[in-house]
Amino acid sequence: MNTLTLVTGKGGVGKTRTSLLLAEADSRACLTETAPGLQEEAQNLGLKPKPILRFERSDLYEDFLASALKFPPLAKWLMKAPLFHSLLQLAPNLQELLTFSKWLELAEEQPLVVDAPATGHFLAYFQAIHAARNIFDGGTLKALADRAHKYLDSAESIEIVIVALPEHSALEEMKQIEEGVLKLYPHLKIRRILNRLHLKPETTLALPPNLKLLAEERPKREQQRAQDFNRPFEKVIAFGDRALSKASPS
Amino acid sequence: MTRVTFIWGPGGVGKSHVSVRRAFESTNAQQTTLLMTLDPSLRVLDLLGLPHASPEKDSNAVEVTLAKQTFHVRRVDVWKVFEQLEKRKPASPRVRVFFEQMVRGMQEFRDYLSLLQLADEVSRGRYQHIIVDTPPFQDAEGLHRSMTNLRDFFEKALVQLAMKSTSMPWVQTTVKKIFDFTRVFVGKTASAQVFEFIEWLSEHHERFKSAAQTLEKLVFSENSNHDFVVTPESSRIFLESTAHIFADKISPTFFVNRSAHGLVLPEGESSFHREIRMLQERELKLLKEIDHFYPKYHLERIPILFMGDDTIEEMELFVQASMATYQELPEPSSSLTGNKTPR
Repeated sequence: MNTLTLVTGKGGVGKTRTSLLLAEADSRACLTETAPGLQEEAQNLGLKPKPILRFERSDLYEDFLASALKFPPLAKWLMKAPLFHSLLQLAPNLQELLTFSKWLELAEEQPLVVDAPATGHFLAYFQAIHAARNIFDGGTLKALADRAHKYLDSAESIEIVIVALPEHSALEEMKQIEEGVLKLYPHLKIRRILNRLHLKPETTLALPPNLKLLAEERPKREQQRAQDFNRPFEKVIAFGDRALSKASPS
Repeated sequence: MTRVTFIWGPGGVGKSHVSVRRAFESTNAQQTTLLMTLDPSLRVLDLLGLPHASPEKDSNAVEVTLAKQTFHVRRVDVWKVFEQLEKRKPASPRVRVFFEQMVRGMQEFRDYLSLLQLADEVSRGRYQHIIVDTPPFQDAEGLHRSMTNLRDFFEKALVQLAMKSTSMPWVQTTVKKIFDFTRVFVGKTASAQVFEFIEWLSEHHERFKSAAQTLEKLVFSENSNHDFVVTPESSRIFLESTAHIFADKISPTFFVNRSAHGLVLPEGESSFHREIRMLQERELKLLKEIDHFYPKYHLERIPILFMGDDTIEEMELFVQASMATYQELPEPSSSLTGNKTPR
């Protein structure tokens, strides 16, 4: 399998931009997302659009049914039946499980970068696989979960990129994601990126008190927080700097 | 009657901060206020230094005093809902396990339950004003969908059918067959669990139905406000997706957080100048987008502040900050005239 890169972090830390720049660094890599955002951000960055693979929730369900029942017309019919729809609604974490399986499937073909959801929702993907293996005692869903589990457990071609800002809450969530993931899959590769760090204090300006704090104290405080975090960052991106690809690791 | 203010916004813009600010303002305006969070991350509690566990008492609310204003805060606790339902109809251990999986694994199910608690709180009428802190909009869109789907879910769908099945033998046979069929996907035990869970849930059909009706009325009622939190850097996608649901029905208040509007810096060309200029340009662009999507709205700005440690002192500063803070330039140290001219 090619590398499957999952990009996550607190809301607003720059997951989408990071995903784009990581994909940019590898000419074969494709992109996918769980909510629209990549397209607009690519425009903002002035990047030449890479193909963004999309799949709808209903398609995921239908594909799954078709493969489970080995008879596509029946899957189509079932998807239209309200009763069956409700039944799907009652399957905990089904969407996450199917989405994760889809990512694995796509990564068979080419390296894949996923602009994944923020903290809680991201961890739900891992819990979904875990839960499905525990509560289902057979059937196709359990088989899917087992397969995902095998990939995650071997940890060979999956990496998790966690992005944070030099702020208390974003760093806390970085820790929370890391611990949540490693608790289930201790061998997974985690890459930490610190985004938008203010580097230089601006001490020469005559400013109102609040702005003076921003200009002078903020860079110092942010760097202090990054230091206190006590886990190394693979990459630190200065505020206003867009060039992630330059220092992209092998 | 209770006024309800929903706080919506994309992730990381300061929804929780603005929720607390709105609760503070409401209390300041002599209204008895409850701040209720539907966001499973419980960030509001962190920001106010409160524990995540909900109190044992049924009232569920905790008193908070911030910058001399006292209001109540509560989180949604889906296990409380379960316990209440169980008082009326005890659940088997298997139902309990399934309920737990549903709560953990399904955003939509959690939404149903949290909305149930919100509906209860509104109809109880203990507060003049309830501020509702929602999850990030990407997830909250599901929350909104749940509001409109709640009734469908319980009326037309499976639960209803399971109810009917007890009185009509042929329906029962069909339903049983369908559930047998689910074994293909989840195995025998889990399939039996699903069936038992639905039967249990159907006992509470009426309770869910009335809550759903309360909520449907509530969201677009004249007594409800909708606050949208954005920053100058927010993307148009949030505007697009909210407009789709709200634009022709309500006139929201947009809170532009971290605004640098109207800021005049002394001459210079530092990275700080560039940052402020970027924020100002982005805000202008954003306001044009808002104009495009919303025919009617109010606008409020909260200045960009020196924050990021999530302390109570920071929060006190945040809830009281206004754009006017920028206008007060420090007295030039060389001048002894005391002539304070705002820029």
